[in-house]
Amino acid sequence: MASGETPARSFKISMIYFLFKRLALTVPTFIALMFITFVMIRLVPGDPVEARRGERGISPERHAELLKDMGLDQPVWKQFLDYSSDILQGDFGTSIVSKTPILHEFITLFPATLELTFFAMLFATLIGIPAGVFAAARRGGIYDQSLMGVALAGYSMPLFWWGLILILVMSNTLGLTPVSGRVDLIKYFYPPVTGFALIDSLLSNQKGAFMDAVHHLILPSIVLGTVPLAVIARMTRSSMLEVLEEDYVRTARAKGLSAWRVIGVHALRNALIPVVTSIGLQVGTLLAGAVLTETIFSWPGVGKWLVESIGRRDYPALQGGIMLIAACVMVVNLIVDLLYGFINPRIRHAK
Amino acid sequence: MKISHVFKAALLVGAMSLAASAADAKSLVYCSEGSPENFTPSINTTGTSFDAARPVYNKLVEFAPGSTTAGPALAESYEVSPDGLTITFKLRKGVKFHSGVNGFTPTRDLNADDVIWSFGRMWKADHPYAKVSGGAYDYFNDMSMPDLLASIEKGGDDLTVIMKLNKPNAPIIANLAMDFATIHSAEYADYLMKKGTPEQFDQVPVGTGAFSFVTYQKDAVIRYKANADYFAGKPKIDDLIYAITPDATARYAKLKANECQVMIAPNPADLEAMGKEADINLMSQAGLNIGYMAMNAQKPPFDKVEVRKAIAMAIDRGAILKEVYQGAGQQAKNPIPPTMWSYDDSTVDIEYNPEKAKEMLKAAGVENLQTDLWWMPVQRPYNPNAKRMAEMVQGDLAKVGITATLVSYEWGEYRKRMQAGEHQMGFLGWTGDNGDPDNFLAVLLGCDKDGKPAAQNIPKWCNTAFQAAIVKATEITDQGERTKLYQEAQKIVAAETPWLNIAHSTVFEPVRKSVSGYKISPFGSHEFQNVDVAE
Amino acid sequence: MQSSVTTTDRVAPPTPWRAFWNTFAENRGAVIGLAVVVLISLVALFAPVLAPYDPLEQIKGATRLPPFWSDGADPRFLLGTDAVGRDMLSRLMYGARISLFIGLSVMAVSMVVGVALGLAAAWFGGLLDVIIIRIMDLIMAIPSLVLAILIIAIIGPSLTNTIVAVTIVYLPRYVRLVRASALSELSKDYVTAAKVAGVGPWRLMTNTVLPNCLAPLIVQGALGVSDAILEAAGLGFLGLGAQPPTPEWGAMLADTRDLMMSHPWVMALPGLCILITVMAINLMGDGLRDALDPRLRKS
Repeated sequence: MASGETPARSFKISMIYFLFKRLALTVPTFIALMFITFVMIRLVPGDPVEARRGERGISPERHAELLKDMGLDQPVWKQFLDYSSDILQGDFGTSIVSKTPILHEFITLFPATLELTFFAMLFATLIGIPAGVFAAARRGGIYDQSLMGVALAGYSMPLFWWGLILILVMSNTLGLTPVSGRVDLIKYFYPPVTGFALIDSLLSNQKGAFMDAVHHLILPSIVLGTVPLAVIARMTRSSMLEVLEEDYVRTARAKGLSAWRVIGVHALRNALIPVVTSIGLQVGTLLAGAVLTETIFSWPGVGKWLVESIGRRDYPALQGGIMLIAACVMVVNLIVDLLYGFINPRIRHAK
Repeated sequence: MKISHVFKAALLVGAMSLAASAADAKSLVYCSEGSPENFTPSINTTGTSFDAARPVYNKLVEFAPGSTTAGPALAESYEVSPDGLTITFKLRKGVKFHSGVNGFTPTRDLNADDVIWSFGRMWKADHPYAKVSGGAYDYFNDMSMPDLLASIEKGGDDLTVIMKLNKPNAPIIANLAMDFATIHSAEYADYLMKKGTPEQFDQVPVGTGAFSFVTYQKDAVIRYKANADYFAGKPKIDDLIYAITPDATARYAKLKANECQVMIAPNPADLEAMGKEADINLMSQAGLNIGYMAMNAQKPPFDKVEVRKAIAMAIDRGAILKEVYQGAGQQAKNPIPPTMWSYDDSTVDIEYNPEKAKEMLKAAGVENLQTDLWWMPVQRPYNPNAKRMAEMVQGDLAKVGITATLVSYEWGEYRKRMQAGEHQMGFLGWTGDNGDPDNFLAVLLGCDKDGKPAAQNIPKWCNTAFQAAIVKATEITDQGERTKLYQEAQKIVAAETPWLNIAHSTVFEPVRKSVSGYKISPFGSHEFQNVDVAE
Repeated sequence: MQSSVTTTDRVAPPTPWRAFWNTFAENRGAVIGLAVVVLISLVALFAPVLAPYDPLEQIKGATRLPPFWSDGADPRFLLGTDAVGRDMLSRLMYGARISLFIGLSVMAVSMVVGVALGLAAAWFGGLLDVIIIRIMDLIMAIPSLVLAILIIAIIGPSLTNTIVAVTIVYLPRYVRLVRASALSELSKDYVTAAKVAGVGPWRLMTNTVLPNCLAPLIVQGALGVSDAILEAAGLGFLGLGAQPPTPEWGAMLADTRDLMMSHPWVMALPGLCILITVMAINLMGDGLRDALDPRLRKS
């Protein structure tokens, strides 16, 4: 801390410096990302014209003509320049398959992914933190061991298999939850105002629509939330154990405060700092990583869209989609960094 | 922004239909397998997109539901001149286009202008809509329509269309019943052009069909509502909903839960259980298709008939039919399905005899053959699981001393490379478009004048006698004569074995028992105008 | 970290290996994990001897048989057969080979490449450092499965290419780990002293810096094996991993997805194998971490 400045002022300055430094680092990464995705996507064999054909095939002339219409007959460097200048103007191009602007497609699909991510994290946090605290409090006991065993199983779970097993048991055998999708199409119909099924169903004023949307969210949230749940539970436990060793906790104990009060009031607050950071980082991973979950549950989100776009060779959708998703991940990580810097001032001076 | 218009329109229409559906409306949900690319059949090539457009539109002539016979639709009658060069269509009177979709209100009924407009878009480069949405009219071109058409003009009145051809063509009426020949509203096109949003023409469809378009959410749902003014009478259901569900297992679960009432393409493995379900009616029909394994005749040793025959003999198609098709199909001996006219039932099928196959290979001097075997990465009606089939064939080939490496590519890439003849052996197949044998034999095994195989000729096999027969058959109209020529062609194929005929699959469609009036289409299309559903 | 340097110098018992084992053995889960890993490795190693059938052999007329505890099971096939009549038990045994091979290869390659890049970035610094770290950031910015799918789409699906794709996706972890450890080590006094004394960079790296990064690297390596197995199974599930008829667990699961309703065990068994293997390795990895580097316990 520089002398002569008030601590608050110096804090503000270092925060701003930190923010700018992080932002400045993001820009070249983003440009390089633009370049790499562009090159990689061009390297994938096959082209969007072929990918759309039925058994019927296509004449070489017609093929060339269609490529020209898509601007794919230009030299690759020129395509890249056009592409970059478009992006700088906020134009991510138009999907070859659906003919709608990428940004529009992304905005339509992103709420579905966001909703799923939110509930997966909610599930993971609501169960993970108490489980971790409980395990730490009963360190070494049977509860601790079995809870951590379950957490490790969750962490090791092949998600596609877990999803299928849950569908098989919960939906097919027990009939408790719907199999896939976001809404019961025959009973309810509401326009996508916000894109979030829960909000739209409430806005629609249809009886039962909200509960229906909740029902559809249950299984995918559990599947997507399984790994974060395990990570959070393990993290909470070890962070809690560490804090319980600290002097002030020992002091509190020595003062005769009850064990749960010590844990709840003194230890938990401090133990949660690294946990909150890890939750933030998990959100970034989930936004991007819901590919398998979305595929299994036919969840109309961004991950499924990206994978399908590879299959369809929809270059603009892939490029734009990866850029937008990467941008979201970067923003989330940036926010997490800032928050962490805010909570834990030591980090600002590192490096 | 243009998109927001579509969005608002969809919202508006959505809200309107909502009000209507509040009073106990009859809905039917169809579990479809994918999202349509758009709603204009002439610029599409996939069944998924055709299915999505069909409720909205009509053609001049149409296949009666469940049959391969084309009959009157928007044209109440048609007449072919004795020389086969002029076709006169008499249009139905008082056919109304959908009103209120996308803010468009038609001021007139269907007339000859709409027909001329619809064909003009695909045909004339200077048509105002020729370049809209990419302007690829592949089916129109593939059916040789540009070569065939001389003119399309208005007749004596607004309801007469005269189509003139350059040469007689036996399958023309059947071709016009295909989806690409859909009739659009010229007035709607003008309306959008004036608004400056012509590309909406292919996204928000307005037609004459039994249902009008309500809304479409990509990868989720398409909604239609009954057209009260439909010329054949208002459909019995009020709301038609396509629930887009790519996974077959999920579709079945939805059907069981009554979340949908009709579904496409069940897993063969689930058929047995479906047949036992009390609420499900498992409908089936022999498909108009062929699944085959091609052997590239341009690559030795597959250029030798004996080698191709020996390989065909080494493969246990009985087991494939049982394990891959789960019995839902018929072992094939001809390239055209038995339900098609001119099918040659006298063909003797190749027997399964690995011992004899081994001997034949030895006699042909083939030992330790290394080959590739291509399997397609997607499920198709004629081949429900090419990967599993490939693994079985790989096992069979190993028993006669042939080592096969399995190869696959992304679906588009797969077809492109096979059409280029990069494979040695590989699976593909075909579903008919119009019920004419020409649509199988010429497309799948034909060659051009210079003896170069057609793109779809995957075995890359050319035979002059075969070629002569199928060319002659398109130039005459007498069905008896044509039958003889096509049977001759089938005999040549049987003798030459350019590919191994595997199966004509049975198309299954599980339907809830509450549904009545539904018919399976031999072309694999889905139609709902005559369907009713009991509450 | 300095403490471990001093332990290696100490001659008195217990030996470092012994000390490590004592800590490791304290953790019951880790020992169970190790036992299961050893068991799976043995099965994988001796699959040709142990497996009752050739994993590729299709037995005619014996398709989709249930495992021994179900009705209609055939005693010849303990865990039943798959859709084309191959013995499930044999396929699962050979599948262990493939999964472990993928996991170990990915770990080995990323370890070697990661150490090289990480040390280079730390030692040379400057532009090279910036470039390496930026590239690693890039890889991490793209969703891992999407990146792996993109790479597979370019180079084509096969067992080797699965290893390549998964290695690229996981490389940044190793590079960043090595670079961070190396940087902190290089700033220490003894390294400066050694530099002044004229110790060459190569010797400095191999003799002082690298051994001090080893503990976290080993832990990362063990957990990397399980992550690689999971990622590869995910690719196999999407049909982009090992190609048929290779008995890869993820692919076996995906191939029988159509049998999920009618013959659930064919799908359930390969998934269970993945879960058990990955879990055992993770248990073992946790134990390794606790024993090797108590500071890492946090994550």
